[in-house]
Amino acid sequence: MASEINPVKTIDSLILSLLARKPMYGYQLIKETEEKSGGVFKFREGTLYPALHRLERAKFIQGKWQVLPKGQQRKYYYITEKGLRALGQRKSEWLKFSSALNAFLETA
Amino acid sequence: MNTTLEQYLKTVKESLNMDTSTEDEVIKELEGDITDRLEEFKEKGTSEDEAISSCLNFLGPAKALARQLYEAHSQGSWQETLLASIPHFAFGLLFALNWWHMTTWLLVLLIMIAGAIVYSWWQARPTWFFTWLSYCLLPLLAAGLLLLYLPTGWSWVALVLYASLLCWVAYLVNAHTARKDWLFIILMLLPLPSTVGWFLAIEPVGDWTAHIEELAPWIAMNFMALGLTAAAFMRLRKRGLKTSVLIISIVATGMTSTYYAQGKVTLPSLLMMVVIVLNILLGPLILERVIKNPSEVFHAKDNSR
Repeated sequence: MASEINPVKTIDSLILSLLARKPMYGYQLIKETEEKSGGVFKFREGTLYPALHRLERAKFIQGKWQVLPKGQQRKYYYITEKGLRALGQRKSEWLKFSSALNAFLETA
Repeated sequence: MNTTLEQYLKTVKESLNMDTSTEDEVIKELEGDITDRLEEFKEKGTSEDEAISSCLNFLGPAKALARQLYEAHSQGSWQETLLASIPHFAFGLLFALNWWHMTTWLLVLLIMIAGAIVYSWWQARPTWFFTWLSYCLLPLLAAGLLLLYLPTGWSWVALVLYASLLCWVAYLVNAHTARKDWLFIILMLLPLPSTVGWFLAIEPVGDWTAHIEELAPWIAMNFMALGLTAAAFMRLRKRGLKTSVLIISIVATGMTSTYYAQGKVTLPSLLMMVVIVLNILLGPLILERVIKNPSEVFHAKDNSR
């Protein structure tokens, strides 16, 4: 099956892979993405929250309000079973895509 | 929180077009994350203005963010889509199978409508509730149309009573519908023009059952088209597309019914009726907004950055 890079799917995969490690809230996700990628990946303006809400509606993640030690409330997102399955599928799609691309780049 | 940020969040909230509890939750989430971001900037020694500007740059224009959040929430699941289409399809089947004169089926339909209304009211009125609500209001519409056939002298008394009842219902509908999203009012009004058109085409005098039998396939197709419209409305994400689908459907189904009404009603008069009903239903909400915040209603602009 042919693969293509879909920006929406890429953002979703990024969020799902981060949440598969531990539950996080919006701002934590932003920081983790920047840190883990060494600044290569940055969420474009206004993309994170719509993506989180889209994934939550699709039941890939679940948001739960939690009270922090100082009393503030933050919405933590947890990956669901459905989200883990989707992540697994996207991982294999990506590996297939990148190995195909590598084959071209290595011969260039 | 800083006034610029407060204004930003206020603009986001006003442009979300979701139910109040979801809107509050979205704003609370944004507010929490903005606070964390500002605190981190403060610790790094960044000035407040710079920190605010960076926050707003990250979030993007308020209305664009609200639109994207709306699109993330606006698509109904397939189950919700089915639930929204069922009342239209059920009415369509009633005419397609010529069951409209069978009391049992009419009773089944009435129980279904009452059950759906009670259940969805208890479920905090999901989007599919509004298609069922329109059929709940049909007896009210039928009563209004029957006023046309009252003996002379009685019509004025009946009209005053009917107008009071209509105002009360309009107030109730407005309180629970328009506040959520005015687009739901159009979804609710979807069967109105065609129902009026078909009612006048049938004309409930003389041998009206023969008229219904004659027109039943067209009436059925009309309701099926409304079912498809409701389904499209539920599945589409973009607000503009949702609005277009509703308007096209109202005009198309209105055109079909007026064609068969043979001069008893015209399409412009049906559309005028929809506009009047929309004004009645949306009037209190617009008035409330004008009183609360006149400048924002008349000079709505994106002051997000």
